[in-house]
Amino acid sequence: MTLAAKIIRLFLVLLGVMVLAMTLPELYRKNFEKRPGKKLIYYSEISKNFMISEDFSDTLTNENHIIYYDQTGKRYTEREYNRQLPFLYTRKLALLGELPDTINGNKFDQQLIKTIKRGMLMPVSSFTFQLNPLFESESGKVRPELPDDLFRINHRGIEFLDPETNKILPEKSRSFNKTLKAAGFQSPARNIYGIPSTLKSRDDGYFIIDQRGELFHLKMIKGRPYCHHIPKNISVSSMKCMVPGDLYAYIYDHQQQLYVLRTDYSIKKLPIRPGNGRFMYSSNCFYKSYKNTDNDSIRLYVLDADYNLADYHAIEADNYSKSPVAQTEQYLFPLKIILTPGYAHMIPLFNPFCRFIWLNMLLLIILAAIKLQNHRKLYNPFNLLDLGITGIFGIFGFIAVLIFPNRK
Amino acid sequence: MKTLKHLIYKEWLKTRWFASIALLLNLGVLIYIFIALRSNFLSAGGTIYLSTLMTYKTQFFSLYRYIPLGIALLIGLSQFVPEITDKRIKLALHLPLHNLQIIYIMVVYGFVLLFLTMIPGILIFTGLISVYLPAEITIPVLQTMSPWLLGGFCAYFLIATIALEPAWKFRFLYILISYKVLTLFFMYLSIGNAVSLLPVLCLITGLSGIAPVYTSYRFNKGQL
Repeated sequence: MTLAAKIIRLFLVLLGVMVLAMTLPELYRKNFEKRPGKKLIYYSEISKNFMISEDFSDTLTNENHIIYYDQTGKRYTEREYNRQLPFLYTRKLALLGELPDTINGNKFDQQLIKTIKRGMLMPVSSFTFQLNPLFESESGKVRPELPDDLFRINHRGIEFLDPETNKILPEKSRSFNKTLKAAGFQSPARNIYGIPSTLKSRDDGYFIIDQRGELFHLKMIKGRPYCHHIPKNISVSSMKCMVPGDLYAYIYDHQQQLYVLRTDYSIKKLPIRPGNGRFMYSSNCFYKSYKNTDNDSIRLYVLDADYNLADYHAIEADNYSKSPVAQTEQYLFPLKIILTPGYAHMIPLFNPFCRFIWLNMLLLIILAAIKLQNHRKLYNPFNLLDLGITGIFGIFGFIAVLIFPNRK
Repeated sequence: MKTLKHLIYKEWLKTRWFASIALLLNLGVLIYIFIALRSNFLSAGGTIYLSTLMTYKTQFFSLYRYIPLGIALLIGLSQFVPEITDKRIKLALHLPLHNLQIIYIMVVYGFVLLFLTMIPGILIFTGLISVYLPAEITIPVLQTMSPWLLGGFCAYFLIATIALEPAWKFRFLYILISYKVLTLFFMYLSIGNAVSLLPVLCLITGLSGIAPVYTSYRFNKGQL
């Protein structure tokens, strides 16, 4: 083979390694993983205890049973468990006629049920078009109405665009620019956070990070611009706006620490360990709970109405990485490449355990034997590179080297 | 120079009808997408249409997803299958040019043809949708379509690589690898989310562009 062909072959081998590192671990897991039982943890507003349910389903025998207990280990029946969590099982309890009359001295009625909010907090915001409708915040109507224009904030400042003609509205743009400048805003906007939908009972406008990283609140009141500079001593990485309620938004800093921006513009750091930054939140008029699940544990933080830590409990997560199948996987693959769901981030995850080294060495010896059998010189640089690739990438390298043979 | 002209003419004879179909398919689908966009824009009203598009991140151009792949298959197969099945390439390799040069005249011809089939259509489409959509939407739309276009080019190069591979068992393995590689280009991603993958896809496309050098080696040596 010519030198060029040999070098190109090496690149193809590396491409093969990439493809195999994406395919083989996934295939292995799909075929051998026995889905572990699911553990769920909630905070009971009734007993002020953490309630845990554990699913012992077996996908092979199709048998399953769930056990319920609290943090002290006390067992519950399913009905007792449901009764401890009236905000979670409201409909079920209502059907059984087992809804409590009062909780913590408050009447358990529709008003109380309406305070329930659930959602997910992620440290990375998904893609948004940097073009938004600016609603009238004090229209006096039940819901905000879609305006006839959209705004963007580029290096020229804020621009209102008429979607019908795709042309800028100079008068409105000038008026809002004046207010933004007066508040100290410097264009262009780094990011704009808000809820650009009419499906909300109240409009709180948008929270905008300017060129310097300063935070501003922009809205339109009675057709006039309103812009407020929000003083902060954190560096905002992303925000999730909430409406309506006691909060404007959740804020993540660059260390994935979570903060809340309250409607009085105060920013409060939540007493929560960031972990991987992903939280399932659930709040009602009594407590706000934030659940973080990572490889080892499920942590549930319970905060009071003023976002102070009321309680905390962590349980061991019974996940794939602890199963015997995953232990075997550590002997097979030196790495795997995953694609984040929904996004196109290709992430190589290197096996932190060096158990794969034995298989790598074995494959290296087999490859050397194959090469010797084919009368190849092992000290040839390209044959040495093949052995090196097998030594490093193990099974992926071995297969890739054989798929793209180093022809004479 | 004369040999080059003859080679290009030979390629043109093989591919002209398939390239014409590909060109029509590309333009037809893009114009259809534009007409549908215009119709929805006018019937719903610009504000509501754009607002819905932005809220639900509607992929109004999703019909185009596999068109570049289809075009690559039309041009790639029409160009290389006759060479392989009839082993006509052996005749071409006897021309007074370096064998790798001959192979690459074919590959570059196919690449240029693919480019001319797809890119003018995309430029016209961009110009047309820009009348109705602001740059904040047009740019993410084009970014979302980019992996599909790159996938078309990559598929063409992989077809050339596979076609020039003389051993069937390796051909089969390269088809498997190519399938897996191409799935990266045609993943279902929301508008704007493909940007982070584009450098990797460009790298893979570039690598696939030089891959025929490897498989054509034995062809060059006449080791069929």
